[in-house]
Amino acid sequence: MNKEVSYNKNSYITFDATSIRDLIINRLNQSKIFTDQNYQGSNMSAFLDVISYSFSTLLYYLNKTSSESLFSETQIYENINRLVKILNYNPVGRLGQSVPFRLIARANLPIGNYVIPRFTYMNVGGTNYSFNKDIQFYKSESGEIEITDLENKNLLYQGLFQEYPTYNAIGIENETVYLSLLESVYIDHFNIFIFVKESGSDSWVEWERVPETFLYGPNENIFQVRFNENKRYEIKFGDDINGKKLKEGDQIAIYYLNIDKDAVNIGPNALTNAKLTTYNSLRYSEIFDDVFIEILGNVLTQQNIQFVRLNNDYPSTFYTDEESVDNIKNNSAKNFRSQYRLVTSTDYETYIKTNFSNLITDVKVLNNDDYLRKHIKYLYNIGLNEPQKDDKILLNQIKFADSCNFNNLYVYHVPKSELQNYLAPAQKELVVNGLRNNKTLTSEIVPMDPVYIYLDFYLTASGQDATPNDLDQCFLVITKLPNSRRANSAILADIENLIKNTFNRKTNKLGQLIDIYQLSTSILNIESVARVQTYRKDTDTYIEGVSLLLWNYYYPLADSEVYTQNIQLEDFKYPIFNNIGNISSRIKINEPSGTIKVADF
Amino acid sequence: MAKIDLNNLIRPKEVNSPFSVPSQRVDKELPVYTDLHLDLKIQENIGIGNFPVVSNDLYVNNDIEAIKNSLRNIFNTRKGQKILNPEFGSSLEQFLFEPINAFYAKAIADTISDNITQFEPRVEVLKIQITPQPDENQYYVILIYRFLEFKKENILNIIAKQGGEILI
Repeated sequence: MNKEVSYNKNSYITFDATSIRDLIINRLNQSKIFTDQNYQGSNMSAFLDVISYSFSTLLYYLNKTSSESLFSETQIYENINRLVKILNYNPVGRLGQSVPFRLIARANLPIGNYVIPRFTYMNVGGTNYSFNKDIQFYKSESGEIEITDLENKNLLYQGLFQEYPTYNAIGIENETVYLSLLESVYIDHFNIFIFVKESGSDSWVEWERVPETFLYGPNENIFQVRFNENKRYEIKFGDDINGKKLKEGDQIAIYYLNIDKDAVNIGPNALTNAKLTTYNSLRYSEIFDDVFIEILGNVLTQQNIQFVRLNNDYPSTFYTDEESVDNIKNNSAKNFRSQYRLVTSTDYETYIKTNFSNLITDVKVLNNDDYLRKHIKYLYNIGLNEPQKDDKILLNQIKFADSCNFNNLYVYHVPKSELQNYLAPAQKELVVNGLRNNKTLTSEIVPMDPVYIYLDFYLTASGQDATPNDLDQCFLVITKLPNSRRANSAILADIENLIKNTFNRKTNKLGQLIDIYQLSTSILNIESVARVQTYRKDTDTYIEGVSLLLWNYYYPLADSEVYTQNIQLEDFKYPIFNNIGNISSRIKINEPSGTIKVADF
Repeated sequence: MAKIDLNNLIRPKEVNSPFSVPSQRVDKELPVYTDLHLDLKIQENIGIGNFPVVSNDLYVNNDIEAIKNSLRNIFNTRKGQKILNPEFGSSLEQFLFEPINAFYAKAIADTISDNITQFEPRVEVLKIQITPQPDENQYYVILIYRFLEFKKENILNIIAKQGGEILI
């Protein structure tokens, strides 16, 4: 008799009243201590009924009242991932770093057309960066020249491409290949490539990755990638109704970018001295001969690829973890509504935030009408009667498109990296290309950079215009409670944290509400704070509460205004607190004594 | 993996008693049927001779007592009362608002016979004697049955009162 029965930790949830009763009866029968559990009239049977029914009832209420706090993070992720599969939503997996680059052809490289084959990589201070596509360029002059055509228009991705063992297809409908790799292997979500050598064929063909197979016809060489509940990748092929079905004996070659989540970010010019290495394997060479044959130009080999060097003006982006449970909840419903067709501004914003979360921290989409009414009007309001002729306009990255503007969609995005004020052209192109297949046919995507609005504590001197030039005269003054024994440094640290959290680059939004009331209230809620005032030193005046100056960094004279009440920024404006790293120098803490003259407003 | 250790269910046996001597061990006849006692009282002592072993195990009813438990439960339970088996129980109460006469007495006898056949296969009904007692508003039932396993006969007296009360 086996007296030890093994169950998974959560097996209890699979029982209902009858099955738990049957299980107990079964076990009691095995133990042979009691016999009467088998007779409906016995006391034992009555007790078992009561216990089983109570269990079932309690489980019912547990299910009804249970919240996510009862489950581990992994369980919640598993659940939400499975749930959204019903909605055909594919959560985004991990995204590695990427960096835009410039390409310089050395003098040794003769004039001509060249191709850097895809998967070529370079090692930068111990971190590998790879090309995910073939880079084609033309060297037009002898001597060392920069290939301006490529300038910042392509990206290098952190990581090395790896070969997955060749998979031989069984030939079933919607055949799915599970990438069984170690948990420690992180794959860049958007860098999985598939090549198929059909049975009876001698050559490899590249298949296209699509968001959903149901959007495609029966003969299309497509596949769908899903980051599943176990945080592994599933690659699904068609069924000859939506996408071509794999035939028995088809060979599948899978290449994935293996990324390092702990890789150190690289700064500008870090690529300068790194050497390129071409990707090399037997299968890759075979595929290369079949797939890349149509490319015009000389493919650079390991020998002459050294005549090419790269450089980067921008730092690398950050590694991004898989889509969080909250994001999946939010995005899956929106994705289901839009069905991979981008129509409303929310559709665009959700799509961009989901797919480019490693590049962008926030995005807003305006149509041409809104753009004219808001952004262009703003430029005229601040006195730029001919904004296209203003030299500073480039600093605000205004795009003046062709005469046909009515169908433009202006996509404002804030880069995720704090070292980068604007997205690099290659990153913008990536976004535009990413939207191309799903956008409304008639829409034209115009990537835009936001107008950064700086904020600081400020009080206007009577009769003078507000200007950031006299910021050093203004402070936030905190008065302590009369009997407080709390150290000034502790109060200062609390306020500093509060402001840093309120105006955090990661959570700030385009078109954000600058909630001055909330800020004042939160400061007053800090222990030992009795009063919050904004103080101006040269005029010795103060005002109760927080008073902020908001100004355009490039047009401080034309656009600076003081606010003591909440202000909703326009959609193209993004708030940045001035010199937030040194915010403590802008705050003074007073003991509860002394009088200050009231300012006139 | 969670483990369910069924050893916890095994009560200490005489042979495991620290006071028992293997050469003196008496092999008691093991019961055929074992049921829990309804009030779940603790078994105070088990063991042999002058050396009882105090146990924290539940008191149990064995063999004939176990079967009697079952019969009592059948007649004390109305259909629908047993949570996970609504078909279990007798429906004697259905007759208690009917006239007390020989016709319904026959019906009661049939019901008792059917119930026992259905829910208690360990006994065989030998005879059911029902006496209508109109003056007391009750039936007096004498049930004679045999324990199949033990080849013994027994009598169960049931008083079914008009108003729903059944005394066994």
